[in-house]
Amino acid sequence: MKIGNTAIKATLMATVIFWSVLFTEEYSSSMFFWIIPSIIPIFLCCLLAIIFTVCPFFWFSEDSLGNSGIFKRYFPYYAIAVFGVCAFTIWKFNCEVFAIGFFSSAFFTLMQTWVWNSKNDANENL
Amino acid sequence: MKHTFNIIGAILFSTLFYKQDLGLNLSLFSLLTILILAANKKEAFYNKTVIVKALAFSITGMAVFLYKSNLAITANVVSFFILVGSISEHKASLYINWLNGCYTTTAAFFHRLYEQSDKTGNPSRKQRMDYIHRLKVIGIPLVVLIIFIGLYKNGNPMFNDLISKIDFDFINFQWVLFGLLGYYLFNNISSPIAVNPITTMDLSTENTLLQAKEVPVKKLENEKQLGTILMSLLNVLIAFFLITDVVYVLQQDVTNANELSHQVHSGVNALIVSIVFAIVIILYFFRANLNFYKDNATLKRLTYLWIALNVFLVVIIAFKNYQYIHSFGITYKRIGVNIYLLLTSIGLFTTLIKVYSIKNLWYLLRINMQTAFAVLIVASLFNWDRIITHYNLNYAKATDVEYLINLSDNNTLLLKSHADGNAFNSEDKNKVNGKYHDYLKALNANSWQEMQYDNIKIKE
Repeated sequence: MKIGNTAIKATLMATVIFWSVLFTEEYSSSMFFWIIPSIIPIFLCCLLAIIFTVCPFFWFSEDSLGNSGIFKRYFPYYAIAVFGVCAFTIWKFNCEVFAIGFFSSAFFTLMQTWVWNSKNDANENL
Repeated sequence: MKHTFNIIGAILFSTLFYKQDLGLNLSLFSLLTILILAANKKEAFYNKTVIVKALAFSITGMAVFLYKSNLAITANVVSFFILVGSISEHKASLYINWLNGCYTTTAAFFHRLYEQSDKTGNPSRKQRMDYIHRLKVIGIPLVVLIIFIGLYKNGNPMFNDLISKIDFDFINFQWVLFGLLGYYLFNNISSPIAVNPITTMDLSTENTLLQAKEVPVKKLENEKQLGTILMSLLNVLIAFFLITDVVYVLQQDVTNANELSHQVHSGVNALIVSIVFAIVIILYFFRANLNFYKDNATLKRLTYLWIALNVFLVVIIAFKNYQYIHSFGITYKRIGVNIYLLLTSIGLFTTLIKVYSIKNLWYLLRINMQTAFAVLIVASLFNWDRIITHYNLNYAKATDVEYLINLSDNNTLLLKSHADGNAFNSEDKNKVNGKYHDYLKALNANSWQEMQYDNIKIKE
């Protein structure tokens, strides 16, 4: 599993979603200067989320399952749980734009990370 | 065609919900969802269970327009997931439908994305080229254009003025983003997905218990003996409890609220423990081959008797609750007790069927889930605040007006009519008038998306 590669792709995706949401609330050209520095914390968040919530499914599952089996067996419950946590937290923060940006980018990025991880390893096996 | 439906759905989704409270929009969304599901999966709607679930979904959507209660909103959300899940696999159990519905709604897009690549192994070179080409065609000119606009702005003040005058305020980007969320939702539900292997396992699990491989007769005999003794003792115990309870009910003072409250609540607590134990013990003894043992008739009769005595316990609690309501009016807790008693009676009845017809645990789970869902849908169709207010003001011996004033706005118009009829003291009348004016203000501020039935009522 190429964690670094996946984390970089996830960071790009999360940055785009996060700033897209923030720009819809209030547009200012000075906000552009914050995009580059924001990549570092976003990268750290992505890396930690991938290592602690996605990778364990691939590391600790039976080898016989294969990536397709792991995806089909665990992804549905993971997706429902992550959606529940993100939706609940957004609601708890009274639907503030920052919370919407952060948790919606977390949700979509984690979902896509599963697809990348499963696909990557499937391609390696080809 | 599918994309056209989804785009129309997304535009309507944003129009209905962007910066709006719930009201008529949820009712319209229910109809819109059914239309989009029917357009994408026409064949699914030939099935009766899917039609029933679609009806439940649209009725709860209508209930939100009529009363806008939290119960109606919850019932609408639950029935949405169940409807979407039943389209992915209509033969599955209700809880599997719910799971499939949750999964489809939240992540079907990513599931399909993975499945596409899983089937082909790798996206084809042509497909990749296509994406890269599109990205180039849109991205490169856009970036170059922005850079050149920045350069020209500095070179010519007139050009700079013109560019600065371009105002994109007419486009609401949040609205567009909300529409994208709507598109994601409709894209997800347009091809519902089943979670596997749990759906396949559910489909292959029958309701009838099958006889396991040979078990020594001695072991079955011992188990039957233990069950018979335990059931006999429990029957004696519950019978004794019921006799003392009936005597107590006949002698008690119905004017003492604290006494009645204690009686109902302690009775319900006893009932909860008793029913849970009853079902666990019954499930334990009738889990496998004892069902097929030829000398189990006494144990079965004792089990039926115990279920019947538990039903009698339910009746006594219901009677106490009725006395409580008759004297001190209806409250949400007292309605909750009645609903709990109803569900308990149904649970006991289904346990009896399980033993009589030799069904398995899955049967109990399936039938009880269906019952709970039906109760939720039916309960969401009533304006409970209005019912509570109407009963307490007209039939209860004592009324807690403060409690009625603190209920939701669903009873405001009724309270106002009673306040105008001089039914309250001046302090309560002021509070009711305050509540009425606040409600009118809120109703008048409603947009067409947030409209409720009361909006029409006040216009009349």
